[in-house]
Amino acid sequence: MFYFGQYHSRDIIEPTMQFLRGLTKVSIAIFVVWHVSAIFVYSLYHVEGYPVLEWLNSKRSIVRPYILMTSQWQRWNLFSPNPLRRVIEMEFDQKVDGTWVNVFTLNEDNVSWWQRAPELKIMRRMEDEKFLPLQKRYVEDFCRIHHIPQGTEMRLRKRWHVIPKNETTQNEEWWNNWEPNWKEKELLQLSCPALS
Amino acid sequence: MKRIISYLNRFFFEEVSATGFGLMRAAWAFSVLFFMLGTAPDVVRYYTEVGILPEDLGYLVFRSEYRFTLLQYITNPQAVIALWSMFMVCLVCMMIGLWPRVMTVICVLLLFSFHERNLQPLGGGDTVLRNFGFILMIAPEVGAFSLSRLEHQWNHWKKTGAYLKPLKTNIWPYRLVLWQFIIIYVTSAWDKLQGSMWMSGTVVEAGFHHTHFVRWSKEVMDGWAWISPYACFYTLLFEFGWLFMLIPRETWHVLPHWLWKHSIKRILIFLSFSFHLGIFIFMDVGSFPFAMTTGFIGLLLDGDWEAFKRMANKKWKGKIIILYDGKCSLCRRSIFMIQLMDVLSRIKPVDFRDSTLLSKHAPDISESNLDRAMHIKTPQGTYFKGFDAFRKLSWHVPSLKLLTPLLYLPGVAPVGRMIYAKIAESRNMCSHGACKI
Repeated sequence: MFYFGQYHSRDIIEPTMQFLRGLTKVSIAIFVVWHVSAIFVYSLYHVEGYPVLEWLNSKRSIVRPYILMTSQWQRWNLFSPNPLRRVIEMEFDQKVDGTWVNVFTLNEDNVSWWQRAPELKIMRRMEDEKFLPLQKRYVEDFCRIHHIPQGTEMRLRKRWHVIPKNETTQNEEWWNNWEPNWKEKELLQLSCPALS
Repeated sequence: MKRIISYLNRFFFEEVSATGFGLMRAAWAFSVLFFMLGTAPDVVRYYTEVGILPEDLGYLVFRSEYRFTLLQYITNPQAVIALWSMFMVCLVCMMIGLWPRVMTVICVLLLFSFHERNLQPLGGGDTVLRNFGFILMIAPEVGAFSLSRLEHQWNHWKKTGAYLKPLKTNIWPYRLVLWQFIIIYVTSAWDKLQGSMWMSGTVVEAGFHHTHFVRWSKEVMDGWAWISPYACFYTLLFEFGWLFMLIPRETWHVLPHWLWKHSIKRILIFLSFSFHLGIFIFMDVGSFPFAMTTGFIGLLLDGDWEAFKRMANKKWKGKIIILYDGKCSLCRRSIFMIQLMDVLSRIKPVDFRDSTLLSKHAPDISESNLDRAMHIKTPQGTYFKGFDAFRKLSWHVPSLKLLTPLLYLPGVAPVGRMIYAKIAESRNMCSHGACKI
């Protein structure tokens, strides 16, 4: 054992260790409270008319850096407020001898089961007009993976229908008779780029 | 003041079983591995500059601040494929528990990196995996159910003949998982109330006709549309039910007895699991049901495992006696493994070389007979030996139960008996953990 002047080392080390253990515990507890509060505040939506929730929501900017840096961002609007009723698919056409020929339809039938969720999600997320550069890139990537020669003209069309929003539940017969009302819109035309 | 500090100390640092978090680690790695393998053909498309989302289009998808991903720096397709492959290897290590702490940290950070590189294909399940991954990464103990722990167990058992004490951990990571569930379900239910279709009970029938999600043909889904109002009501009920978990246990006695005599947590886990199973049967929503199930495992504490054991042993009395050769290292190793897997505590191993123990537990069978094969004695006094003994045991060891039906397939028994006889014959050639079979 070492001696520091008149003190025995145990007299110093023990209380120091105890203090450090206590400090660690307090730090962990503070972190837990912080994490819990941060994800709560960041997950709040539809707070209008509830003063406490509105106030908490106004503090989002405080927790935002922590939530984003730790990849803990989240919003639990699964099938809500109302479920997604818009069903879309995308048609890839290729110009052959001056005529458009449909070469691929991006929908649930033409992607493998393990690619279904991510690939259809990508399609839904680039559907909007403001994502034209993403649609263009998607078609160029289509050219790349299918080895379509440079300069080949391609066209992307969107087809969609909307599942009815019923006020009450319908019986089996009603659904049997229901037919989707498909609509269609051309999104873009481009020439396949050089294969890289 | 002392009471408050003691309460807070218990609230954050009470020692609980680390089993749940060990299993959660394995389940999390399995789920991520399974779904990341699904992206194998698309690694270049999703995560590189030549794919569908080059960085210069990122302004349409990414946030401009607080975003970190290794794939900002690793952009070459070959390098990305190499990183992805390394990720898969690390996930396997994490799942089986090879260097569980290091592998957990690496895997979670790599998952963040791949997700942050391309948000386009991500769904709710991916978010859940990131949320629980973060908690696993910072949890102090994730080593239960790992190969590393098995190695420690084996070394300890060899030296002392006893198992290590069950792994314990502080309760705070459990509280984070629980809070994450409350956030997911309650904010989700809150969001549902803002629309009109959940209250009119028509959400499920609409969902059953969205071809992106349904697993079955339109005719089948038409036939199931009637469950819509019940399923909507059930969903809102159990989602808001998670608010019960905010009530401190100490005050539960004010609730009606019929409510608090059962574990509200277990009821909620059961209701939620049934909901996710239902979704999985009818709809393809990606990794969501898997990710949520992963989290449920992390919610299981000592009391829950005990309750599971009590339920499984409700109609079970006595012990199965395994008569093994204490002089044979292969037999000792087998007994070590079987005892480790005996989570229902139904097995009692007896070294038949100890004549006192033999005469106490199996006086009616000779040592020379026991020398030929492992024997077991059921509580009813029936003996089984060799392959048949193993098959009988498999009914009582949960981790072997998946094997049980296979062991009854025609032709398996004769082959099994033959293999067993061969192993039994050569078992004494085993030494220092290696056998000449």
